Amino acid sequence: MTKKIIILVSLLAVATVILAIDSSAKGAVLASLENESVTLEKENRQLKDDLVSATSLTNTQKIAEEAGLIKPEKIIYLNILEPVASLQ
Amino acid sequence: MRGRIKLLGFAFLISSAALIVRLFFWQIIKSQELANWARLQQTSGRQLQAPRGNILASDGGFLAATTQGWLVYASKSDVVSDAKTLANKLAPFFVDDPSLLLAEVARVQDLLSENGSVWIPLKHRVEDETKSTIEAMNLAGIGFEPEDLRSYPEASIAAQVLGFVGKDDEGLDKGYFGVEGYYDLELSGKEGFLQRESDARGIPILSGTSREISAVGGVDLLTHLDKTIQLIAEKKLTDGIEKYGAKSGWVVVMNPKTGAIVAMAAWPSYDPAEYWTFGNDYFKNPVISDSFEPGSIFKPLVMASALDAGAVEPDTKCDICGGPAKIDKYSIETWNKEYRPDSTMTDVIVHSDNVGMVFVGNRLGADRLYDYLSKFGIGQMTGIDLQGEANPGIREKGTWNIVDLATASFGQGIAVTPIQMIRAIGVIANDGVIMEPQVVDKIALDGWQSDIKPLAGERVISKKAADEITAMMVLAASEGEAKWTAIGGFGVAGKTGTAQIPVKGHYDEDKTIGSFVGFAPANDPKFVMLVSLTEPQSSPWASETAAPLWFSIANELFVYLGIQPKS
Repeated sequence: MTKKIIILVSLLAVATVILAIDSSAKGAVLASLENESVTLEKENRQLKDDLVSATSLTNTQKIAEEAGLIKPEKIIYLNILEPVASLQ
Repeated sequence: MRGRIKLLGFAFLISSAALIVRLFFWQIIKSQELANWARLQQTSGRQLQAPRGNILASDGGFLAATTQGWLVYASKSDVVSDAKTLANKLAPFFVDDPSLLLAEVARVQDLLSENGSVWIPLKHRVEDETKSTIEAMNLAGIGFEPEDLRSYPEASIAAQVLGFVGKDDEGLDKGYFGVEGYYDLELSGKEGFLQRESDARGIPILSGTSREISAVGGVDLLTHLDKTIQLIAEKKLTDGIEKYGAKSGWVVVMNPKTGAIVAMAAWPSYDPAEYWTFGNDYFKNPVISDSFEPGSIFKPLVMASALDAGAVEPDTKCDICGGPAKIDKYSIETWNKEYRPDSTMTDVIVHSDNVGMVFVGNRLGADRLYDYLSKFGIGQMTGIDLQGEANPGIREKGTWNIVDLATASFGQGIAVTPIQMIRAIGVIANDGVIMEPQVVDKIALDGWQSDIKPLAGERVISKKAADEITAMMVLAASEGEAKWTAIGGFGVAGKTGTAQIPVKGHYDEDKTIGSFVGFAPANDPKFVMLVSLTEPQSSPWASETAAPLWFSIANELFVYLGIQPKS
């Protein structure tokens, strides 16, 4: 009977140690995942900042003007019923 | 030997007793205190950020976004330089305008010289780039804390529509004016909190206690605003203000079938990212907050009402149009003092004949006019989803005298906001049915999206009456006083309006508000647009200021919206 109790207590002690180690390891994994998450969030935020700036139509317009692009001053609509050129 | 064993046993006994006593002291008597100390060491808590939602244009592009900003602070105990040296080094990064540099140096120096302060916030909302530059200088005692930065990538574009984010009484972010103000609660979200036990290395103890309140981010708002049209409207308005020497002005473009506001520009404007550098007068959106006497752009509403009521037909002849109309002690004249006896109702609109409109008003009667104007939404809030809408109201039914009826018939003595005006003209463009103007189209959060459906109101006039007044407005645009600037072939239905500005009970002789309101193509309108310029200097007449500006914007809209000319 005593032997059984000692074995049981020993098993419980071993199980407790294993669980404690496992819990500590999982805690470390969690901490690592959280750090990774923070890094990704930071990167994501930086990418969003870049996207916000890059998709600004006002900036695009400035770049286009600096590149010498200009808006057409006159729009000509062609009537499809009237040929612009024909063969004789 | 036996004595030694006894002595050793006794020593063990004493030691054990001492150990038990000591353990009793720490485990029982001091247990609560130690547990508290342990909790303080092991338990840590932190805020879970809930960034403010973005405001997006109809194409998903950013109009307002929450980006990463920084608070620059000084930890007084770690600072080694003197306050003046440090202020001279930091201040240039805190101001854009070199003329403000000296004042900024003084401000930072004052802050750093404060006695009794340990942690001193020096500058809020500093951008990433600036932070990196300051960091590279390795200034001892200068640190950074992350904070949200509200960014408006299109600068002052649609500023009065968007509003801005300031602080409330408790120092928390709060939206003011426009979309930021109207949807502040939805955009704000709610911060969360995480508290749990960790070991000495900061690794969470999973078996320990933890408490987490999840953060709920602010929703994104997808608006109807079309960036391209908005930019066209802003650019043309600024050019128009300069060209015609106007004091201020506005442009509103709406889809008449849905009530969607696709562009809303006003000048003068401001940069919402730096709202504090502008006066309060800039923040108000004149399109929804300011009222004005509409003048002749009001005539289509009165004529449409009379057509719908059967009071007149398009070819009904005006039998008082041969000269000025005498109303009480007043004489009502035409704008150019030219009179056309027996003008038809179409002529009255085409030539913007005030006397003809008095004739129409008399046929309709004050009570019926009041009822129709109410159905057109005049004197009522439009319900637009922007903070700051005003309603000038109209005289109560039954209190209108003959002068009120006569002047209201041609848009004088009655006040409207620009948004009320464009919604009312939108009724004509939408076959007689009123729509509620709407800025936000969809609300989105983490893949979930909710569509805000267009809000259709009641039928105001019959389709027949809408078609008749549209035909009149097409002729008014192509044959009226603004015909010189009209673009042919697109079927524009429009009307000019030059209104005098009431000042202290009388009308100012020189100051006017010139407007042009219209829609195109007349048979299947893709947009309805209102353009107004206040106090133009080059000419008091709308036909020479607001009308050419309207057509220059429309010219670009035709290309952008793929509207082809009929001929």
